[in-house]
Amino acid sequence: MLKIENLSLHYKRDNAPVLALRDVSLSLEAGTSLGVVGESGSGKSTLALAVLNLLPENAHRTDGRILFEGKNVFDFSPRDLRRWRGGDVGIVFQDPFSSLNPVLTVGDQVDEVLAVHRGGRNRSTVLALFDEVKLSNPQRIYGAYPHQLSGGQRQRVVLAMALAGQPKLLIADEPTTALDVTVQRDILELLDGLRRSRGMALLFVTHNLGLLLDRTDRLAVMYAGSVVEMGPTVDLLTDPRHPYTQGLLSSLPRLTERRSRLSVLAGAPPDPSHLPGGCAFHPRCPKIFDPCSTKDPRGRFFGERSVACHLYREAP
Amino acid sequence: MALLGAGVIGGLILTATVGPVLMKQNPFEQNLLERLSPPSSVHWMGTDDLGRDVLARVVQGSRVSLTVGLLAAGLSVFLGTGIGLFAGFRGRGWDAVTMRVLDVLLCFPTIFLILMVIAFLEPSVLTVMLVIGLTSWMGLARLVRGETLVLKERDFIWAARGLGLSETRILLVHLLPHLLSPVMVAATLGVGGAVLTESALSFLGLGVQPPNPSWGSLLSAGKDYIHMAWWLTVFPGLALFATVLGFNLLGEGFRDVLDPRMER
Repeated sequence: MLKIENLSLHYKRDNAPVLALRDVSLSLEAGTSLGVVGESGSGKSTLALAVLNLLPENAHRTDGRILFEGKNVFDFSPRDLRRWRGGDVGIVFQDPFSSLNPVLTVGDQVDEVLAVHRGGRNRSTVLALFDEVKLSNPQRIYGAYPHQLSGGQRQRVVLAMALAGQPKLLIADEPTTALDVTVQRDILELLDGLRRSRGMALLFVTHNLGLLLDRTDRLAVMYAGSVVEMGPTVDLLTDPRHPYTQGLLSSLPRLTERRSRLSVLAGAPPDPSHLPGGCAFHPRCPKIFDPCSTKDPRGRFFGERSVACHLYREAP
Repeated sequence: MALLGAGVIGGLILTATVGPVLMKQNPFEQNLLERLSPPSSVHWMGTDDLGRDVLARVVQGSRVSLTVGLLAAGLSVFLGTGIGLFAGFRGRGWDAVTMRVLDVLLCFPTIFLILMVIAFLEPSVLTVMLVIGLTSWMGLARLVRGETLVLKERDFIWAARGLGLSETRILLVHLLPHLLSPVMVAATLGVGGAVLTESALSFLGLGVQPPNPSWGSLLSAGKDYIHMAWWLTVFPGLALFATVLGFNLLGEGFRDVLDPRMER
């Protein structure tokens, strides 16, 4: 239902353009979930915004398209775009403390989405939505202002707003980053449950690989604006191929192993306005060899999985 | 202090609305036998060169001052907020053009702009009000534009776009309420300024025309007799002073209460 094809995009800056997405291709089937993992600056949030065609003014798409049910979202008229955003596609932003309007009651804000997408305000629908996102005492929440609610409650409200238009695709851009660890798990389980009960597709963006371990069907790992590895979550976790994915996984703490130190990836992610030549990962790669510093590897498919690395010329 | 300002304004509004009804003296009635008589128990503020009661004329003048002040400030707030919102929210070329035009307008001294416009129009309460409104919105437009530039990048505005709300709705429902406090402060201070400008114009004879009294024209008429009849200038001057002070105090009171960045 969602197909991203060869999407390339940069942000205009005074001197050098900042490369945000380089030749990204992804697809997501109806009712399934895709996790996108990457460090800060890897382009994952830009990707989430690009799907909604909701990019800042200084963003420039140089190539590629995004198809939603066969239609390119970059070709939508402003009117269609408005109807589509919040309708077929819902989005949950990172920070529930700032993504609600502080001067309106939260019930009013959810109701407003109904007015725009479902033809009219309806208090009982809002209360049902609050119930669905497991907010206790919906009546009281309806009349509350954002500052009267906890972080977890606010994120549930934001989720209710995203669900109000009955989306077929839900985009969650680091929805738990700003929350307590215990609340994080509740929200994740809620998201997972809602996806199943509503049969939505879910695009889940995070920098925390640990969150996605068993919650998404497929996983895409991003580095410096491009997808370095992609495949079914289970396969990726048990048999990571790209050295970056391997590095990420080995830096996760495990309960079953006794190690005095966690292994870390040496170095820092590259400056997206001055990417190294060749493979963007080569200065940090433990398995660097000849072509890495001169030639940028393209993603190659092996069955359901794809890897962008010179190590894999033939099927491994 | 803000309460004092509110009190003064409250009294003024009361005076302007019911004052002329309660007054025994007619502000237009001449009595040549009692020309230029000093304040007494009959004429609390004395009489002018045609024997008219000064208190009655000052009270009548409060109507003009207040009407012009409120309406002119209202017009200026409407224009300033609208234009500022438009420039800030649209951004890019629209913003650049609007702001340059504004820069040009700000280069002219306000009184010069006003005189220019008055030169083409018949002086009357309506023209004075329009002219003051049309020449005083620039500062507020700048302020609103600046606030809008910051506000429109806030997460909840992005979230509203992401939910498919229209630009009009985002502007009116989500952006405008956040501008309420700077606009309210500017509006209150603006009334004081507009009252003062109206008096200046009337003083120059370009505002409200005789025999209709305005504080500015009362001052102007009184200045010829200032050596022998101080009451002709002192009382309208005091009324003007109190009014402008009242609005300024109230405006600053609003700012103290509404602006969280200011220390109380």
